[in-house]
Amino acid sequence: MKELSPADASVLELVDRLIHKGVVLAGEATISVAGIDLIYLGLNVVLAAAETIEQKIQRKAS
Amino acid sequence: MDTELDDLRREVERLRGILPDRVDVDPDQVEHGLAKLVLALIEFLRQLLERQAVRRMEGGTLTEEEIERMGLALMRLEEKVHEMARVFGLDPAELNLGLGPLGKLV
Amino acid sequence: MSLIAHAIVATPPIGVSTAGLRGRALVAVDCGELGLWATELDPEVRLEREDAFAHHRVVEQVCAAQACLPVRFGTAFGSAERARLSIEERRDDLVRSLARVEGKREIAVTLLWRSLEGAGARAGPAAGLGPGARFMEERRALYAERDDRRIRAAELAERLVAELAVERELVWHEICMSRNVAVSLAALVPSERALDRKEDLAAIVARFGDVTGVVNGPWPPYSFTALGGLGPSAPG
Repeated sequence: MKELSPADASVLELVDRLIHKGVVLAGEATISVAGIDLIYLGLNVVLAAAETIEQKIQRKAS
Repeated sequence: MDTELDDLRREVERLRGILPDRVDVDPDQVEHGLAKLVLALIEFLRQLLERQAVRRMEGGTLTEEEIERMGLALMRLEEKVHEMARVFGLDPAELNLGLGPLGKLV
Repeated sequence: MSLIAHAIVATPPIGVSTAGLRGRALVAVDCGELGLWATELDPEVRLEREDAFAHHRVVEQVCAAQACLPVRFGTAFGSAERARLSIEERRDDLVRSLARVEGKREIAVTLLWRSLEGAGARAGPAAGLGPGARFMEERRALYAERDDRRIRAAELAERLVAELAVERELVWHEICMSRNVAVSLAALVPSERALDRKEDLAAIVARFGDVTGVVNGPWPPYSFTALGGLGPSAPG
């Protein structure tokens, strides 16, 4: 993976905000660009949920 | 166990709440997106397994033979996952989910 | 039709002179206590990268006029009534979030590792090891290096947070989200002090020897639209 220049980092920080941040409202349709990213978002939440449960189980075990 | 079930239920609600009722995407894009997603998930699990294996090795509880066998198995798994990524036209290095809190596990 | 949502404000929405996406006029949907700025487009439209940047420009203009909450790009409603219902569902949270961002802008700090060289040099001697064992040793070194980077990144994040010296709820950060990025941080600061704070932060990050710092903003409060629940992780 190539290294990131400060200019690239700035653009990426902005794009990251545009795609991943902001109020999430129950919209009716999500148009294609954001659609793929919503699939990722959904997975993040599923995995985050799995992690929370895992942590709780570990805490109980120790 | 009951509180864990409650937590799980809460997380399920949260997930349902943030997904839209309908996702309006081009079917070809969906396929490509899903392939990338599935492979990214597999890659994440693969790295998780590697970390676990390394921890066990560091724990001193594995014999030399077990270490060698484990290493070979992990090497082959990595080759297989990366080969599959290339089949889908993906650079293996692209397969990272940007997992936030879960990223800490690998 | 599709109403592509841009930003939520408190009623009354203050007029902005910019156009919405693709040169269409912006519309302000009345949602009682709150208002939603949106662009009306055909439902078949596929949004593209340029639309994301146009959305950002709209959000910036709205934010310059009054406190606002950016809406996730790509959020669309079939009608004004549906938009209203959706916002009404979240009204209390949205009102509280709006109060939190009032008079403030977001500053973003990114710390990039200066050197990404791997841990090859740190792996133990390979003599006498089979290929599997050698692989395990290389991976051990790789994960050890990742752990060291995580520790260092957490240290750097804490220093930034300490320097900012604002309430915890006004700072968000994540470490090691990708190979290049050590720390990604966002802070809500009073608008009139935003440029000064930006300079202060730039001066501090310039002193870190192992990372290059990039300071961005002032931006609309993208990272501060949720109070707890789903949203950026709390610091620490």
